[in-house]
Amino acid sequence: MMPNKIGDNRIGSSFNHLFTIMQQVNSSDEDIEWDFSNTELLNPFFLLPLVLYKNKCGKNIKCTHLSTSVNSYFGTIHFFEILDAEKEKDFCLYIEKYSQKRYIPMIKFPVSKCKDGIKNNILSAIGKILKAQLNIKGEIYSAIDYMLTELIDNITEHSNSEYGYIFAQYYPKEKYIDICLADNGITILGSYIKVGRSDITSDVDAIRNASIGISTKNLPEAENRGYGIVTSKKMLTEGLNGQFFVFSGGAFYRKNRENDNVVGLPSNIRWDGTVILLRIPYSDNRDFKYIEYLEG
Amino acid sequence: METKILMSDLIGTELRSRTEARKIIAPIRSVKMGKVLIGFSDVTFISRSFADEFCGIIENERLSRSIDLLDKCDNVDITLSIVMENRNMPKSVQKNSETKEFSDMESLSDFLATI
Repeated sequence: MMPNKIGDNRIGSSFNHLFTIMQQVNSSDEDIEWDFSNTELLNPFFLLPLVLYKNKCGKNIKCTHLSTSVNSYFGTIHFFEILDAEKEKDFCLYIEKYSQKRYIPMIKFPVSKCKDGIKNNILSAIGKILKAQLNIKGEIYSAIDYMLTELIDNITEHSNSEYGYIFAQYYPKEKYIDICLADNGITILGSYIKVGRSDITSDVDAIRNASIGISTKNLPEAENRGYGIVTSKKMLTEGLNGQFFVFSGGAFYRKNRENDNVVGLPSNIRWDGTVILLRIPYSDNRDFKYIEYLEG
Repeated sequence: METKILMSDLIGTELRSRTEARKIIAPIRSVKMGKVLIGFSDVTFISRSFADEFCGIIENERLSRSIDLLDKCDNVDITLSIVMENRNMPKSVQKNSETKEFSDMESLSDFLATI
């Protein structure tokens, strides 16, 4: 049974439901039914990982008992078929129709180095739509653009993934936007192992090292690498009083102004790739200057 | 003799990825004589990753030629300055995280209920 509502503002709720479902699916050998009969409202932090998990878990999963409103919502956010930005003839034009909506649909985009130009054009178009939706400019917009750019470039540089995914929903009353980024790559631990970091041996170790900016390169000349996560989380949590989550392999990391945790998960819960969740307050903060957070 | 390369023509007005930054290498190396001027007019955004990759390339290419960077808006100028200054300094690493490990869903759920 799917949850009725993930309407509270705690990210822990989304993870709690997601992990429970993953555990149920992982422990079943039969075909699976996801029953949405009681579902009213779900959060992007739950929905994007859920649909990606559905597509890659190797089980036959059927979604049933969707109400008309949930079915319609799932259709508009591309839950049933993630929007492939690369295959859309004119993605920049297509995405413009969302400028008056409160969400960016689930979008799949290329992240390989050979498609860097395509990726950056898609990212630029998404950024412009967010700017129009939220009616933001200046420092807040630059901060969102900066965080998306750095975190998505990390996927390109480290994940070995062919595609990245994004889904966003904003809440005008509460004045925050939830953005979910994901890939199906080699995990953060995998990216350290790939470059021979034999001293980093677990997902918990890996995510802790990434959270403090330890580069996969570990070379003096690469000292300036590894800032993507560090500067983004600092900008988001200290500058904007937002929340930052990373879930990779069998561990997750969360940071807000008060808390900084690395969490190791039970052995039957893991994500083969990396999921990043950003809760970004976007109300006017005149003291915020994104450039002040670039030093890491 | 001077040769000018415009970043907005070569890459665009938003400079995002390390891969994009590497596009500057070929135009610089195609200049056989004189000073290279790299213009940032119309550039509105530069990421830290782009800036880091770009600075590494410029440091390397300056061993064999003279390169000046021109027409930077404030954000581009500050980002490049921060990255340039940090390149040869040890990184300040802050280890403030508290680590929690869970072996079962029940105890994990209890923790998730608090965040």
